[in-house]
Amino acid sequence: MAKERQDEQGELLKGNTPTLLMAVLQEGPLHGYAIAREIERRSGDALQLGEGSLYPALRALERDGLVISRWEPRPSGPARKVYELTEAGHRALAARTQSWRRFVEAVENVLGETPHVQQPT
Amino acid sequence: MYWEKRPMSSNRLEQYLDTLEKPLSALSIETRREWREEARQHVLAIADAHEALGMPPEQALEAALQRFGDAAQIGRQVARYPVNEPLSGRAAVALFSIPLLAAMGLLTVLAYVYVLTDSSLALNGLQVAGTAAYLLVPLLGGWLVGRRCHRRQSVTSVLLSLALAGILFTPISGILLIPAFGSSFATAPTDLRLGLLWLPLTWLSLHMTRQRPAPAAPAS
Repeated sequence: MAKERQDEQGELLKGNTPTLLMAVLQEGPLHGYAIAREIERRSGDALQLGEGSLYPALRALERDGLVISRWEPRPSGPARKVYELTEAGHRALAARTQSWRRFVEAVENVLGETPHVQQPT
Repeated sequence: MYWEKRPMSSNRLEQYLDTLEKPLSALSIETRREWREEARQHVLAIADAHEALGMPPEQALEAALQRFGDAAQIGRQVARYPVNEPLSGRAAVALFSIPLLAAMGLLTVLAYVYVLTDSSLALNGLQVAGTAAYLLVPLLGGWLVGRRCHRRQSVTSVLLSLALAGILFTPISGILLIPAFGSSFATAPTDLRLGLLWLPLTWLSLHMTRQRPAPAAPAS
């Protein structure tokens, strides 16, 4: 049952991973591990990504000029690669957030009119 | 460091990273090294978090690798987006050839019209188009190459490749000079002086377009 729910969540997440990444990068530059933790934290552990799958999405965003990356030196330990949202990324995030909210509202409206849906107790 | 303390874990981790890196074999060494280091740091950070919760080191690493995901699949997906990949000289020459060949095609058609009609209008059109093509080819070529240039990549090696290719293709590119500047057919292909103008024009265009978008200003 849990596996089924995970698969279902994975499918839903697939198309929205770039938006989630941009949303957490809105606050400032983060490295890959911190991005994964921030998504988990904000979703109350409900969204758990296959962490390696963040990187293809980050690279696609970088290719599109929505995100840039750089290696940031640390006082101790090796430099770490951090990702940062660009101006174009901020604009794209605003547009995606708006269209996502419209979509959720539309789905809510449809579900709200479904008579046989039982609310979990 | 985690892998220095635990040689067994180190072997397992390196095998995993090898699998992760394998699909990127067509990309530059620098890109592959960066990707490997980034993935290593991420996996070790997960393993450290598991260890902090009391998991034995070997088990913590296994859990971290599982959490990171299927190495071969992730490697293949990452290889699809070769960002920050230095542009090879061969690719730069191929990109630069696009406007050059387009200009050659256009001028050939115009020259054919002139030969068939022998009109002064066609000759004037040919001269204007030749001059425009002569100036636009390095600008468009530089733009096409610049857009693909990594922001940290030195443009010297790219320009050198283009200059070498330019010498090889002088007989072809020199034809552009004929209608533009009225050079004779006998001297134009070897007239390198005007061809030298292409280098600064290409550099200018390439330099202007290779800049990547700046990060957003931090929120106040």
